[in-house]
Amino acid sequence: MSGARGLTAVALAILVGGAVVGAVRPVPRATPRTAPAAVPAAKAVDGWLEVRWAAQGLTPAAQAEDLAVLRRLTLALTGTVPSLEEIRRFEADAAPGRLHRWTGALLDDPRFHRYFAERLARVFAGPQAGAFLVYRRDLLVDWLAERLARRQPFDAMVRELVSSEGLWTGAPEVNFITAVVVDGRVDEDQLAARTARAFLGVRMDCAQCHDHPFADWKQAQFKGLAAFYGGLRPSPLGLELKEEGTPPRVPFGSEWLPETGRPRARLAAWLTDGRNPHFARATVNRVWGLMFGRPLIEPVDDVPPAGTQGTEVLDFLAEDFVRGGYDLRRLVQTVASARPFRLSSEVPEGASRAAMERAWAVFPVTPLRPEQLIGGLLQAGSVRTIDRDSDLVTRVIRALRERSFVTEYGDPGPDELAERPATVAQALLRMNHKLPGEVLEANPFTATGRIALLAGDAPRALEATWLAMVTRRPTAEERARFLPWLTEARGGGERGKVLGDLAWALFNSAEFSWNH
Amino acid sequence: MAAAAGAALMPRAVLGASAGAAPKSLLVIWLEGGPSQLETWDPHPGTAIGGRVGAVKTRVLGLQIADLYPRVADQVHRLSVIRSLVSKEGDHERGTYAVKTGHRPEGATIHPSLGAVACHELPLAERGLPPHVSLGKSQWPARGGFLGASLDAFRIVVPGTLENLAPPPKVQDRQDRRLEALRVVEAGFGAAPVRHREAVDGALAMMSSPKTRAFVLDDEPRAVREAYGDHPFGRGCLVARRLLEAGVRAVEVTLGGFDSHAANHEAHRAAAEVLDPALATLLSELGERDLLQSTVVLVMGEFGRTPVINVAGGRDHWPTGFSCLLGGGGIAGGRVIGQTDPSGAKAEPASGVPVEDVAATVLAALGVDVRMELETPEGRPIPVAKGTPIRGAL
Repeated sequence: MSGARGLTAVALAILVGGAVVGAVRPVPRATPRTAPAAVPAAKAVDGWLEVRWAAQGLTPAAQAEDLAVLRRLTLALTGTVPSLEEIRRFEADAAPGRLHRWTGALLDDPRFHRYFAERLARVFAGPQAGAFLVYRRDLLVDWLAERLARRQPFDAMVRELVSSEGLWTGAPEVNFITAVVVDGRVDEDQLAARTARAFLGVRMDCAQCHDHPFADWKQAQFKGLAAFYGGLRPSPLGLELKEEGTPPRVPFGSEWLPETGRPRARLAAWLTDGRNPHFARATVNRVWGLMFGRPLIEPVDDVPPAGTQGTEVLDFLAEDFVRGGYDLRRLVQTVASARPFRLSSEVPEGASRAAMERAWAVFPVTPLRPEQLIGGLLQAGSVRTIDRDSDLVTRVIRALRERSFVTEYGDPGPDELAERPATVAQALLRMNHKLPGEVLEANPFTATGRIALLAGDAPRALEATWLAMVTRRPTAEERARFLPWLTEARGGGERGKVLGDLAWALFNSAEFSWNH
Repeated sequence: MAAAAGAALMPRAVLGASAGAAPKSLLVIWLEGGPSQLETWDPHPGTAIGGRVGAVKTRVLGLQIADLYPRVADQVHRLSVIRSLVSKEGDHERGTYAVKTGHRPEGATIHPSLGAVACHELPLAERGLPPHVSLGKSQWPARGGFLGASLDAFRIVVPGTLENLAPPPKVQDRQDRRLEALRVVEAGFGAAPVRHREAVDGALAMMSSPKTRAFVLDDEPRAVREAYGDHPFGRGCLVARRLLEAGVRAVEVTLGGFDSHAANHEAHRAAAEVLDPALATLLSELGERDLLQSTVVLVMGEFGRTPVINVAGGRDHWPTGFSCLLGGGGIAGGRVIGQTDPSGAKAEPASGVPVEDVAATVLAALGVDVRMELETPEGRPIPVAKGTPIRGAL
């Protein structure tokens, strides 16, 4: 199994027990390499927020522990909790600015490309598998991951998606279009609604049935936007443009719409033109949402215009995103370096969590997405980092388990950043489903089994379990309560059972299944 | 929505009622895939479109249903038959959405299913049972939509079983230690959201509730189980009856196999072999146990099937002029509403009933004010019903 890959028993024992970290084979893909760079944009964000906190008389939450930040960073960028292996390496890096370096390393990690591609695919094409004959969602995700890996600027990526031509198998970006094929034709209304939400941050489709709350969108404008996608049909040769219908029209900013060209190429150029403020604002709000589990402005895809009160941070980050050449990684670094991302999720005595969360004076507490929960569970059950380099068997098991558990846990659907309740069915699944049982029970392949066997004394075993599960060390109360359980355990088997029970308790706690 | 003509389906008292009365429940028998009206409740034997079924008499004068359903024929008087349903959705997913919610799919607003609305407006008094349950394999089970995932139907894919209600047997002796550890860990987490605790408590309440026995069938006499049929759907109907008795607000039981683009007759005959005994026994038991007065029953699918039989011997999607059974909860039984053209030439049925009106009728019978609005989390008001209750001569 993967956990033992390339590791001697001694090295594994060191990794689990946490003694001499240097003895563990270095893993180059996530080795921090760049020097800490100041992130001026993050400082500006802090400035805006500090003004807001002062105006509202709010004292921001305390600074979070580095490990807590590492956990939310890893969840946001790779969809899992940090592995015990990563935590050991992170802690061995004592130089200042290590969180910044780790963010950079994670942005180079294939796990990030893969995970963010999946998240973006949901925005661009929805969560459904669609009509298989003309829509290959998997290829679209691969394409997005490849673009993220080679740092394609976001505006160029979107231009390709919107104006794509060819076959959905040969040109994977075409699947943005074919994702909405209904009864053999492309549903231009769905594409228009998606375009407006994803790339303009406007729920224009609301204009189909009522006046938009803050923008002057009318049904005719919606139809004009949809017409850019009009008359498209999938054929064995790719996308065909069949009939001319309503003339395409943009809802605003017609001065930067190219006068000639194919309709979708014109639309793509118009969307991503530097003069269109909505594109950057929609993207910034989305990326902030992916980082925090909650967008700057809710709902994520309906953002009021620049200059509206309360949008200063969004306005600033959007301008900075354009200045920086639509670089998603730079945006992620900025958000991850800003103060809100580094604040504790605990509210001081007597303060209102709702008020503090609204002002980003505390890190918001949000439920993990199903993929994050299952990804976190599988990672916590293994001491080594699970990624694309792990052996095939682990990957296959992981993929199968994720899919079935996600189905049962309840997929959040396209509105994934909307507020979701925790359900009884989910709690039953976490407590009693056989998958967490298998992953958390002690055996030679699981983290608890290895910790029971190799971690050394009881305090170290407890610490390794806590780090693997909740990325922190046990509190004094927890040590006082649980250490006797471990020391009184007779034999390795019983010790493994105690660790399995503790891991079960941690998995079922809010601390595991919520982002905080 | 055009108000339907046709016979009086709802007594006036029902429309205005609700205050003080004991809350009612909803039972949806979902025929997934689009059942043919011609092979179920609206046969036209001996015509060009009639296919190979005959018609069988029922206890309602003049009402005949397909002879694939001899046992339902003896019970169907408890409900009414609507033969003139019209929907604007001919796609399975969209059609299902339209019928289950009473709204057409639009934009990103996910409307709640009728069961979720019932749970929202008529909350259960105690814990230990989920308020909303979906039984059987279902592609698009009823969900809470913008009312929240806590009103999604609790899914039982294999009726008669209840999974994840107890820890795996080999760790059961460690449950106390696990729960103790959980309490200690939770106490130390300052940012813990109340909702997490509530869900865990709800799960623990279910795990220790004797009421969850309603989900399993060990104590049902063999004769009863056999009457429903030794099939997941038959067991689903029996579990549904038990859940309704135990006080669950909304239950959905799904039977698939109706999407007969080829070999329509064979598909419907096979489905009827399962549906006929199960539905007949269910209706009979609901009647005998006085559950029919307090339970609105809807037997329906997403659309019907074409009058014309295609070259593969199948029938295709047909959202105009299809049928359902509706009754219970104060809705009149033994009525027949609307009719379709026996020649199949006219697509539009006489006295068409939009599917939105079926939803409104169900909600009104449950005691929900169909003129009220619900609010999305963003504060957008959405009418609870798009249609109007079918009242005809009321």
